[in-house]
Amino acid sequence: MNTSVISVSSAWNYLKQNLNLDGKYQELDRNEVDACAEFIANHNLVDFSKELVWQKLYNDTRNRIIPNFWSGFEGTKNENSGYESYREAAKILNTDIQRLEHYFSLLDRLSGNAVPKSFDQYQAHLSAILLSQIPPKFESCVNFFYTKAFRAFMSLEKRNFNFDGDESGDVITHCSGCDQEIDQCECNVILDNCHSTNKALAELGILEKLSVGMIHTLILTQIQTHVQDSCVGNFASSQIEMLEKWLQNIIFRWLGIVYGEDYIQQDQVRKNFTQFLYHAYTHARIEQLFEIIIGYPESFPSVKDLQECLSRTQLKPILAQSLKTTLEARLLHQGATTEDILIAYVSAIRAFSVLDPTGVLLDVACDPIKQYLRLRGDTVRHIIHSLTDSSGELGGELELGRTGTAILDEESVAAVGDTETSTDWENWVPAPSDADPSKLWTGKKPGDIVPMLVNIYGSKSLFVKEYRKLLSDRLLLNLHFDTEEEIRNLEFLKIRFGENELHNCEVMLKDVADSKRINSHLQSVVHKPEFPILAMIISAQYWDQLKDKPMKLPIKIINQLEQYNQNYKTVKTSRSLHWVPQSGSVELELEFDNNRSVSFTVPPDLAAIISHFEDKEQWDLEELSQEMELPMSHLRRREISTDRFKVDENGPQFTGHKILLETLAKMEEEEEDDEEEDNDRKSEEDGLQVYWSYVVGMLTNLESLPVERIHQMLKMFTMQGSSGAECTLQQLKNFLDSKVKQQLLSFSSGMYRLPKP
Amino acid sequence: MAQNIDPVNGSNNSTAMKDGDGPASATKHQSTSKRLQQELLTLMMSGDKGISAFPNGDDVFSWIGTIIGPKGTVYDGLIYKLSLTFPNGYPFTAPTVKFVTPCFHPNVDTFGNICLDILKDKWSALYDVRTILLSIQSLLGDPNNDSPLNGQAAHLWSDQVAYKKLLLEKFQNTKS
Repeated sequence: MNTSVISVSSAWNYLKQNLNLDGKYQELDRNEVDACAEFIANHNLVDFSKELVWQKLYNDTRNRIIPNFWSGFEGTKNENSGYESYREAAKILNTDIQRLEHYFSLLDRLSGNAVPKSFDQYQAHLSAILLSQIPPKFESCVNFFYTKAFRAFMSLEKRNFNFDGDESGDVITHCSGCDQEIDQCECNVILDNCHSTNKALAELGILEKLSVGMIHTLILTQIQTHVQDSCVGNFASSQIEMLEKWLQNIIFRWLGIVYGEDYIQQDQVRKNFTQFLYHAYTHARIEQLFEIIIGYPESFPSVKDLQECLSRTQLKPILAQSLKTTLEARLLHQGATTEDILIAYVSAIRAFSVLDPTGVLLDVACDPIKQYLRLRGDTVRHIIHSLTDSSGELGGELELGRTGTAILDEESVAAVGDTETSTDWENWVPAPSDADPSKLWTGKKPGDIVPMLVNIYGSKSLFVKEYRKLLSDRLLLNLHFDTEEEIRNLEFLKIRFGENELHNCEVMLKDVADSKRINSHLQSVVHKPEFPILAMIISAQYWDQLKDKPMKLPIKIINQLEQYNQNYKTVKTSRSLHWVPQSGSVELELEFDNNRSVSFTVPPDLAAIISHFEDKEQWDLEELSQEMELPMSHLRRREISTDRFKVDENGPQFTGHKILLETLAKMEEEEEDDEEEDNDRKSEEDGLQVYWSYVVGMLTNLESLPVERIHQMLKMFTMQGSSGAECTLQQLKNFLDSKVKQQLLSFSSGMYRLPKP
Repeated sequence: MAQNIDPVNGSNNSTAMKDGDGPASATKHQSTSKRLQQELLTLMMSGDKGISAFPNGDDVFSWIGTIIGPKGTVYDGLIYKLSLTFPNGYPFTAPTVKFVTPCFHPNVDTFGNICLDILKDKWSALYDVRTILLSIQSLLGDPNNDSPLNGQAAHLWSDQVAYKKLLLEKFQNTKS
């Protein structure tokens, strides 16, 4: 071969033969390759033959090597076979490609590359061809392989470092990694195999391309499981640090093992996984948020965690939504007592004050609670009760808020007073983007419980009204005239609601104090009565209507009361008392035949009944009913409760039986009364009755009116006392509708009118 | 003592202050408006048959009145609406009272103006809405034919049957 010109066909034949361009696969001899290279160079066939060699490589790869590789995965059925086939296939692929080594060096020589380049070029093609032929089973196979490897890894980690603090102290006899007894553990083997497989694939530059999707999925699943496991039922400790450590120690190390240290040094990779960890953790906590709230403040660490997570993730809307759903499912239904709901709400307020100091989240998430509480009739009562009763469960909660009351109030006053010139303006932040723009976002801190509770109704006058009722009930039951506790409460409430709103309550308390004074005064100046009377003198103007059911007291009691009234008139001229006989209580002592005497405190009507038996041993029910001016049904009810006193085995009975009362030794009467000036107090319905003639007058002259208009006109044109029954629109509507039912009004298309005569 | 506060005074003050909020009533005398409210109360409570009145709308100074024709007269059972407008000087100045429903009557003109001495020169502060309405009601059955505003009606009055026929005809017309 010394001539520079040879025929094309002989050159072709030469190369074909020596380089196996069309033939079956056969390992090349190094010398032959050298000879070929020389031949090509001599005949100026560089470009041409390079093309030929590449062609040969591609064909070989596409038609033989790759199908060979993929066919290894066909038989994958379970984890073990998947693991094996992946390992095998990777091994074979690596060998196959290593056999092509000479071609690469030839190509490098032909191109005159100082450093081998053609292999890199080939790699690109290889992965392209590889991925274009990917079979469906491959993914699960990869998954099997790495799952197994990861388990082995974890199990080894656990054993080596006792990670996760396995404190059980049990001797581990069974390896969780390879499903073998511990002394036959194959975890190390599995891991080694994994290493070699990874290495083989990495050399071909296809490791990442083949496995990255699956590995990530695997890791994400692992993170998820781990987060779930560490969160279950555990609110009382912060998990973030632990989880981050875990991510660092396990996941990143594992990734390092699979992909090499360089891989995990990439910022993006770390960030992605950390971010995912936070997401998973936040989701887990959000799912538990209800328990966390209920468990607050024990769950404080979790709340803190959640707060940190929320600042890193954009999960606030999800949190609000999820909490709403949970609340509706678990709290806001018929079965929960109002008190429970209030407790939950208070906890939520406290938890959210940590979680989201702006209060926006609370607003959004707990709106359903507010809505729901508004529907419950007894909410106000419960709130007031817990506010004023420190012994209750919620009272304790609120007591905490109460100590901070004054300070918080000062703050809010300051905030209202000089929002413009607030010294804190440098720290001002706008409302968060998720704040509801329809609500005025005042930047108020949700930490103060009381306003939040009051705000359920949005109006403090309703609140105060309810308080007045409650106070009235309590004072009337409090027959020791002891108002210290109530005064304390009132002073506290005055700070909240202002003096004006609570003026009535103040008068009520004053009434009680005055009553006490008058009582003691009258007792000291007047000669001793048959029995002591302690009157609760209340001014009807300021107190809610008492249930004044008429009853005729025994004559001697009436006399005593009259006497008291006379005495009262001498103390307070031009005033007199209007007794409310059915309120109050009577202390009496009953003496029996056997010299046994028992004291009772009983309602006045019962005492009156007993007193009647003092005069006459036997009463007919009807007779007694007439005597006392009480309906018989009332007496019958009382009969039952007399029984309960067990005065005697037979019990006092009204008809046919002798009463076994011997003496009515002592009787102490305490009566509440109204001052007579105010006989015109009316119950709600009666109050509305006053309006009726107005409504008739209105409709006579103005034909037909909608209820709103009627309400407005009544407000304008009727003279109402300051404490008079101001009726709400709803009350009026109910009232008018009742008149429609009585056919005193007709109602059509939203307008009321008088019926045609 | 808190009980010594006169509750009536207290309540009236607050009511009056509430009413003072409106721009329309702000200029008018509070005493007038108070008096009118009192009159309304009296009227509502009096329960007189056949007369009634109520403020027209946002203002206590303009009322609508209703009179039912007195029994035993040609006007028996006919319902008439009136407008009553009270001046600032009320009750020292007479209110303006007009028929809104056209009324065929010797002392009422076609615009509803009423010729009634107590609404003009004989007005006294002792009169009130109730007495005005009662006076007009009785005027229906007992017209003053000496100074008629409606000549035809005055002329026809002597013939009660023909008068009633025409009256009902006219009343039906106004209704339809």
